[in-house]
Amino acid sequence: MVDTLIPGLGPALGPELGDTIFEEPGEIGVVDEESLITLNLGPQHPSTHGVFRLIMQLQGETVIGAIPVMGYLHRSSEKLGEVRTYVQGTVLTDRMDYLSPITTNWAYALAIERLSGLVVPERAEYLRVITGELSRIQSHLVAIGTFGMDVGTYGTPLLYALRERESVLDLLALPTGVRMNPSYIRYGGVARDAPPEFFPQLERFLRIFPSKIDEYEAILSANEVFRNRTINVGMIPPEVARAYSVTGPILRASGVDYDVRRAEPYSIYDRFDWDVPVRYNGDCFDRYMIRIQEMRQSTRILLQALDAIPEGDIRAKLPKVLKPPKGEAYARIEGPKGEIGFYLVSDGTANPYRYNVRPPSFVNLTCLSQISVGHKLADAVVILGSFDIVMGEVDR
Amino acid sequence: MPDYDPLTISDEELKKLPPAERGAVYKARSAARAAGGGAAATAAPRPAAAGGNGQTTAAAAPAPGAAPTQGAAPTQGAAPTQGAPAPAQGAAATGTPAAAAPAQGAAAPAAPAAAASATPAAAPPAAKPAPPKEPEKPKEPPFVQHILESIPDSTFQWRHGYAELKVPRVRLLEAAQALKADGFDYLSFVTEVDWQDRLEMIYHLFAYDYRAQPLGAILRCDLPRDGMPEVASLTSVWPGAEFMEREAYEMMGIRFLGHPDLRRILLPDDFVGFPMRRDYQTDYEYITVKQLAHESD
Repeated sequence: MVDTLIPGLGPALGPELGDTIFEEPGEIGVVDEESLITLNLGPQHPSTHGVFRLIMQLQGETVIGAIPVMGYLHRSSEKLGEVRTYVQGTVLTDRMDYLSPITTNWAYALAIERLSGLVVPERAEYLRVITGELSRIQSHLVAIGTFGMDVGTYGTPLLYALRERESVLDLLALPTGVRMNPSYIRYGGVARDAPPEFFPQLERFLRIFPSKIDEYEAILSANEVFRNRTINVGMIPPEVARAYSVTGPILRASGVDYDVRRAEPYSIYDRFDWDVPVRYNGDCFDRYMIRIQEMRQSTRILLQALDAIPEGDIRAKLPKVLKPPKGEAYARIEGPKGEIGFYLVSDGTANPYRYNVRPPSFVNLTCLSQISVGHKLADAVVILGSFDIVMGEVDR
Repeated sequence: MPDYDPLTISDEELKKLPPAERGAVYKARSAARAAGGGAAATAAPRPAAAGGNGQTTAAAAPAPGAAPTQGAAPTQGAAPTQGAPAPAQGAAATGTPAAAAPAQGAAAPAAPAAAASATPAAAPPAAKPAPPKEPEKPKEPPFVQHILESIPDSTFQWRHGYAELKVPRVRLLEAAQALKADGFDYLSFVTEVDWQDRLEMIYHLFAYDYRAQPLGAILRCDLPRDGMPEVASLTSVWPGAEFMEREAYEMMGIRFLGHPDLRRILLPDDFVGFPMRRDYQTDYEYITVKQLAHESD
């Protein structure tokens, strides 16, 4: 039997016709066919963070069902990866999570190193940690800035966050050479060494950055409107988060203490003294707070890495064209959005036989419709904002 | 006090003991081995001093065998290890069965020589318990043993520190439920590979409680390649598989039985074929028509 692949809308996720729902506290409404509204949120809506579409079924303002539709940004990166060489594949990873390209580079490089047994020099490991944590900060800054926009704090927090993001991008431009899509972390090491002026500039930034985080907290965490819009909204219980393979800040906001940097320390993360922030309510506010706290922890890691970085090589001895031995490898790292995994199969030639990505945003979206059901439409937008998705990564 | 001698207890009896007592037996044996090994290195004055005591001779006799055992253990243990904690314990235990077997062979010719100087009657009992037969330290972690015992035709190996299990297609759901029961509550990644002659599903599993279960597991199963092969959906075990299985469905053409909502996820609705299969041919007419339609809008 050959499948006809007829697209459908899938099963209803929320209450069925005739069920009773709570419209307002104390007021009970009945789901009936006449008052059901189907609403397209997106794909060109500013609150969808790219081209993401949610087909919402509404009863009044209450969400009865939410069906995510994606693929508008699909560029067949995985198929392209199979016909490119290993070093060309790095460029494809930049375009996945374009807010934090260096972490995706890193996962890809780790998979190749596991495949071919390359050993990365010490200085390169430190440069990886420094640039990786800087891009985590940069990604979280965009996340909390745009999240403020979703909640309704026009402009100010986003501009504050983008101000620091500019500093981070300027800093990252020193070792990588460019502001966006750097392809910096490559198999066997990093692309270029950091110039000497990079380290004092980074230290100056790290000294002022905690006070900037305090500014965001003053303007967002202490804001009554912000708190009312986010606290107890979109709560993900820990058992739901575990069942749906959720990772990253969303998972840790639900009270599950899991960070790949701790669970399976890659690179040199076992040398630093830092904490995994965990919060227990699992709502949108906790997801926001986890990102704030992770930026503080990244600052801690960066300061220690800055003190300890040694001199030396930045690249292992590499052949002109890398042909890893036959085999397969899975490598995973903790990206800003969650666990980024790369599964590579080598058949002994210069191209990967299989090039497969585990995008954290894509997997985290699995539980979105379950979480949105029962909330108001405006809250569904807040929940989507708190998930911090990047469509380049979801669609690849 | 236990009613057995830790140096002569047989393996069958040892297996029945509670773990705490088994640990005591290992300790006593390693202490005896350390004492015997030191003695053997210094031209064995110990057996002479022990005289007719068959017990001490038995403890000392393995000493020559123990030295090669320690040399052999790393090669046996290190191959699968690569940073995984559990196999590292296997390497630390000196007397794994495969390594003990040559030790027994080496000790057997040595025993008559030792017995010739002592009474001939003492020789057979001395040779019998000669190698310190450590009960086989489980090379596989318990969750692997559960699968291997319950599912025939399943195979196991280490891959980059993860325990890789391959099961027949019809038993996939059963294996997944067993792994979930053993603590693997985090389905990290669902991937699928086209090996030209067959397709393969690969599931990467971890535990959110990484302190209790630091290992990762890989669950694999082969599928036939013709048509759209069918396999059980694991969404009933890990609901997080939903989108990843939908992607496998449209990219590789695998039908997941029991999936709640199996339809396309990334590609356009009118797309034909399974693009991640190796023999996929790009349909240029489709691309051209799409492009023309886009430009005329």
